[in-house]
Amino acid sequence: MRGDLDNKERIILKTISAIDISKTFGGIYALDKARVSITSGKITGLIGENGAGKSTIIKVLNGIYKLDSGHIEVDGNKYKDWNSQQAHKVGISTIHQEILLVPELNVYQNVTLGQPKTKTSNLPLPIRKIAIKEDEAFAMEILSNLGVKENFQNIKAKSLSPGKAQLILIARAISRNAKFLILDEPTAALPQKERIKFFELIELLAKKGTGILFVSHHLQEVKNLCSEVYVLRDGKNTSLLSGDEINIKNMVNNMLARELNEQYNRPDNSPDSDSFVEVNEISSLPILKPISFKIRKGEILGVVGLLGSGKTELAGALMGIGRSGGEVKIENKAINNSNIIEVLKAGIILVPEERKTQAIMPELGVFFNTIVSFMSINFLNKYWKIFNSSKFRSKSKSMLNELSVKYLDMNQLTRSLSGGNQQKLVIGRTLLCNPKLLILDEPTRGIDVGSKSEVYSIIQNRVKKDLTVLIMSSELEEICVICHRVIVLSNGEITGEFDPKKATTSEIKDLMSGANTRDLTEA
Amino acid sequence: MLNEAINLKVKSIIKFDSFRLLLPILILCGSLSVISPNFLTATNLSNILINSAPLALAATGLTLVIICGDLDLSVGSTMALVSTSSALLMSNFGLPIYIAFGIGLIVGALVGFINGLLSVKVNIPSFIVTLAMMSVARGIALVLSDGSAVTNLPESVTKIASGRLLGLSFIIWIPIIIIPIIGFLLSRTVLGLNIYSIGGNKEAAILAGVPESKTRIMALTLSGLMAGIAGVISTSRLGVGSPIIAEDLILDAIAAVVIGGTSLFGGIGKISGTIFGVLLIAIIKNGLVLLNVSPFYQRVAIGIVILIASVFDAMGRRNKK
Repeated sequence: MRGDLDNKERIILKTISAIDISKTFGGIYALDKARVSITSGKITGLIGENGAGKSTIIKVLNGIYKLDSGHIEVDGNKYKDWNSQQAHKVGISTIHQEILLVPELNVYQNVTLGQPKTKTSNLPLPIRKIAIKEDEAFAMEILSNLGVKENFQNIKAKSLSPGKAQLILIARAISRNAKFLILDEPTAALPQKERIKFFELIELLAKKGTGILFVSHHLQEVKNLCSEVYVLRDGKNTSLLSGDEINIKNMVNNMLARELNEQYNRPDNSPDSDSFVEVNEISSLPILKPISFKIRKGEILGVVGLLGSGKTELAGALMGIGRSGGEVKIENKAINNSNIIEVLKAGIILVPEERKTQAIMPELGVFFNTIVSFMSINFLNKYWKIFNSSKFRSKSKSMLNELSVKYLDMNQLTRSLSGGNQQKLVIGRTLLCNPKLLILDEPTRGIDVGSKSEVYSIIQNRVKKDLTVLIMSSELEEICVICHRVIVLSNGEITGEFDPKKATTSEIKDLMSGANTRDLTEA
Repeated sequence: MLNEAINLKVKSIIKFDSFRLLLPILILCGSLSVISPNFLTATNLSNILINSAPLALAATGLTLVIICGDLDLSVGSTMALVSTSSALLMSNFGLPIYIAFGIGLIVGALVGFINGLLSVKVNIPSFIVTLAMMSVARGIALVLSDGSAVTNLPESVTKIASGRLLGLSFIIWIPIIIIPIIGFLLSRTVLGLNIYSIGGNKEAAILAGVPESKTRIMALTLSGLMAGIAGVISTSRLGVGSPIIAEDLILDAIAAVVIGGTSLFGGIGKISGTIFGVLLIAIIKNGLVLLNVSPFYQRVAIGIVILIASVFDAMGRRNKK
């Protein structure tokens, strides 16, 4: 039924496991004794919030990352060193959320991409003539085994719907004898109606003996498909759910559960009673639907929500990026959002979610990175103003010292700082501009525990001096401790607002997951 | 971890230090002066500097553009356009030379400005825009001059080239004065900070408030202006306006920038590096001429230098990972 290789070497593999895997990047654990198993004929789920270690463990299974500790076990054989050739040999194949097809080649060519059927010849493989008929027949056979009877003759890959394209990728994996299929957010690009067909296909594959690891943040899909679910958080396994344990509430609980960390202090200032920032019907379609809320002066307002709830879109929309409608008023003055510089000049500054790609300029020095916003905003059209002077150097220096950023000297490349110090530097950059409203999108993601509490104490100290803060975060417990007030986003809508001193975390999780359930049952 | 940081720091000094080219230049000069008695003479050294002045000016402008993450392929054509248009203003319209050259510089800056506008506002990669401009500007220069040199210029045109100050030709003084100004602009002013930031990480720079469009347009405009100055110098030296000057200058300019340690991905680089790159290329060319080597070998030699420089760069990058 599958590729012809299958008949020659019919080694039936049952289970492949990654056991007690640890992996650090720059001193921070991406995985901490994590484990995941894939079993032939079963669909196993893998869930976790952003940064929980899902993609790291996928790369470990594929042999892309070297293991710091732990091992891979294939049917009882242990491997300390695991590389991509071995992964390929046992038949691990990963399908990523981006659809990797060659758009200008036809469907069948895409199925056999890289390993087409060739006319028997003594020539080296790259210059052999492709046996077009045979190649197409082979691709067709694989597709029909997947239940696709459609004729794709002369149809280019670029004209396929996302669902069909996904199918071609799976066909490609099967043609290469994939025994364990890792699907990384496979439904992210699929419209609702194509998903059902896709799930049927996955179930069919499992029935035929393929082991499947289904990695997704669509919890309802995980619930419907998987017989076992691994939950990762902060690189650790929180649980292995099976049977009745696989329900949305349980999954959310395990993804987010976090012991209350007493090292963070509750804010001890009380914000003004009048509203300072008014957000009216702001939206960023299709994800963020129109929402409105107010922030008081001196307040730390938290926004919580699961992945895909619209937190990041809200942060962008407030800066005027990707906004589909609505307005933001600060001190009763509407802000011109046609240009991000206008928003910055009005006193709203964002510390973006992705530090490496959106916040730091890695090859530039610490000084350049610290002073850039201050110079741009204060000397907008004064290009001839000298920035590289002792005045601005000492200004930057005192800010970095105030936030206790550890660096060797002002010309040190920012890339060489640790994640926590980079984050503090970015916060320092924004504070130099004396913002009225500081928006922090996941300010503590991927930084060590010490830096986390430093980041929070910086924010709280500044709030006492008139700063107003909006924090988007998935770190529920932390946000409950440091915020005055928290609003819950789910599927692009505000589903609740609470006083973190009074609400219990389980109530909040209900708000976050309850709405999640409602939407996903439409599938 | 501290060790690692110090290590990186040391590497960053080596990488950023434009003076690392000084050693190969000195070795080259040393060996040339031993091999050829004509090398280390005042006339020859002054010739090297005079010959490399247009390249130095154009490559300096190009460095700004490349650090900003763009590319300007049109510098050579801009030189030709500036040369012919200012020569025509003198010969056909009888404009005084300084006004004609002034208008020429404005033309150069305008070419750069149009490059910038199209790259930024219409969102066409600057590689494509300036590739087209390379052809258009050269074409206009050829049309205006009917394909031949514009003669009948006032005699005082060549005075710029023949004038001397403190024993050095004016042609050497012009880059000596202008290039440090550009270097200062890049390393000290807000414009320079903006250029580095956009080249270093465009998305981050925009979120941090750096005016992306204006900065990129300014870098490309400055590049056009610098090419204009190079065009004026060439006109003065030749005593005619020529539509066919600097036809493969862009290759040497990019080579000088790259040899000087500027990253083609943007964000990294210094004017001083580019100047050392220009000198290295000029000395190699001069040396090969003195040694009676066929000029065809010049290209081979420069190509090898580019490769060696890139290999060092790539090794530096790999060590960091």
